[in-house]
Amino acid sequence: MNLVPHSIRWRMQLWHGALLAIVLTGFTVTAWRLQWNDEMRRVDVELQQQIQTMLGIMHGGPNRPPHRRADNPFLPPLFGDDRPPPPPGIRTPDDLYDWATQIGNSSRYYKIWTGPGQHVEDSAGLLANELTIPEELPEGELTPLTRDTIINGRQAREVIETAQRETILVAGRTLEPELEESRRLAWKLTVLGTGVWLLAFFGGGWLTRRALRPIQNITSTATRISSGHLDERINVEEADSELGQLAGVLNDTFARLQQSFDQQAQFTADAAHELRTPISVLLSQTQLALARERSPDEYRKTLEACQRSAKRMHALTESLLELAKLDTSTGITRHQPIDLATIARDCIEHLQPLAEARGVQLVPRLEPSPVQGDDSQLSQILTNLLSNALHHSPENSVIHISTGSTIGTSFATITDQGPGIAAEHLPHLFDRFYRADSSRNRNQGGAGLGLAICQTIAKAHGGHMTVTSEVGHGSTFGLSLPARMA
Amino acid sequence: MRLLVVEDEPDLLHTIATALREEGYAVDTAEDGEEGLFKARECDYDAVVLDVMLPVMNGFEVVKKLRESKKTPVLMLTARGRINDRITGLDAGADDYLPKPFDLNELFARLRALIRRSAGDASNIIQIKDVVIDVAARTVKQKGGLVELTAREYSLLEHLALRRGKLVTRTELYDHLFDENETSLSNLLDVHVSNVRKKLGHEFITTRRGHGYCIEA
Repeated sequence: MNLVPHSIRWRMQLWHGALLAIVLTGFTVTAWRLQWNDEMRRVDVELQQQIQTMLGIMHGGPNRPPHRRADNPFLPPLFGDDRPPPPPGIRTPDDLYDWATQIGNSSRYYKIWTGPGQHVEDSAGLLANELTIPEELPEGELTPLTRDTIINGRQAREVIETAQRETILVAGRTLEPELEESRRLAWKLTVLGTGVWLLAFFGGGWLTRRALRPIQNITSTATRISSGHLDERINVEEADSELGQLAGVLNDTFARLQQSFDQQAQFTADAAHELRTPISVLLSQTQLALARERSPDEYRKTLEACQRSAKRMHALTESLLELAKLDTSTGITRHQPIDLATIARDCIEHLQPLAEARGVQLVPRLEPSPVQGDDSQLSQILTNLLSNALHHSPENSVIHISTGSTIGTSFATITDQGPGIAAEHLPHLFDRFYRADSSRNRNQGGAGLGLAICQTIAKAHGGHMTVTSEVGHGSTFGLSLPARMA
Repeated sequence: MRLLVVEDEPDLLHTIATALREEGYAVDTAEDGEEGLFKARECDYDAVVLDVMLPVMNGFEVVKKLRESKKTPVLMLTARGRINDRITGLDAGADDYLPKPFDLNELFARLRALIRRSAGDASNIIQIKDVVIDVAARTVKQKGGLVELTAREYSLLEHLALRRGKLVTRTELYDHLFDENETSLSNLLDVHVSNVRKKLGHEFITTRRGHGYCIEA
């Protein structure tokens, strides 16, 4: 089993979850630290106030609560006049006593040393007994100094103040309430953070699933299409989103694929259909001839009919092969500088005998028409157009052949005085297997591929075929190609 | 039996016509839809073999227009083998459909079936008194013994047998036994009738003087 999921959705989900966890952890830890620091500052202020009070009392006078070592001699010399007065409200020894009792409870403590090793005064309770002179107290360090410490196994905070004549005051308190508060906060933050994370994780999952749903849609449609249902299309719900655009592009692609598939299928069907008629002739002719003994003359007629069919199939397969070749090659193979006028002249020379036999006059008007391309292919176009024109020309008519060039375009046109072509057929004339007559036109002998081949060749040369025609007034077929720059 | 074949490919038209003539049918031909429709309207053919892709007017149109006036059985013959084409053809009024390339024997069989059905018979065997006519095999038996008939004689007998009990006029018989190219004398019909009578017995075909012939069912 693979531990790293391959689904984009799950990967996005995991990344998003991990990132969110890091951010949330950072945020809650920071919040928790800030809160703790805040607490500590508050404790420090409190402790400093305590020290100030102590200093103030020491400064305030020799009176001490009578029951507590009243004979202690430290007070007068210790405190000079430069000390601030005690906080308001503590003025008398009684006050001081109260205060000492107050701070002497279990969580608070204080201690005063007047010189190294001599502790003078401390708060009641166990905590104070543990206190030693802070050794690490650096010389000249600014006081008051705050530090964290462990007293009697309990975490505590204390403020150290150095006063005159090496007097050191330490006031501290244990941090049970703060620790408790901090733990509570940590717990709250954890619960809250986890909640937010879960919400965001599943919310994100939902969003991802929603965002990726079109992709699933695309995938399933594409799967159906690849399994042969070419007419399926992706249902585009949000046309403006990125996925909607992608779906639009894919749909266009599918449509074009289907179109080319259909064209291919149509082409194959048409080709098969074209082959059927000569095959029918072959089969029925031979079947009939073989049904009984025939005279030599009948056999000869049968063979002639078979030959005609075979020739027709030959011409058809040649055309098909040629089209297939033109379709598969990316373009023309030969690029030589040639002139359509030269090609037209050869073509006219070649077909002149046929024209004379049909009593048709060929009238050339050949201006230079320089192009780049394959002379045999271009010659095929003109020969095809000219022989078509000859086939459709009545006796004693004229066919005009002209070549020339305008800006950027070289052209050749062939105009006959034949029956013309109805307007409805003109747009399809260059389609494969299209016949204006809807039936096999025996006189023309083709399979409806001649003009399609012309068009394919013209397109391979970067040009196109043109036709204008009016029923009763003849037709003009043209080839126009990009002119070759001299 | 007289048939019309409409096909624009001359070699194929010639082949089909020849083959059908050798089968004993009288065959007329047409090379485009218009000509085909004209002939089919003019004459009561026993069946029409009709190509779809025809110059001037395609086979679908021909059959549609023919159906306005005639019930002649039509067999469509076409290179377009798609289902839609078949449906179009049959819906236009064609009775059967044969895709190209086809086997001549299948064409014969389908034509026989069409002709038989249009005469109202479902079976290939027609029995009249002691004479048994097998339309498929084109044989005639009397009392179990095979009777030798020429193709024309057989056609005459079959035509009358398919319309047994009904009067068949001389013109109708003449129309169905000879094609458009035959300029035979009208008494040739009497010769054929007399030959059949010689082989099957004189009373088998009765003459209604001035009207025509009839085989009593």
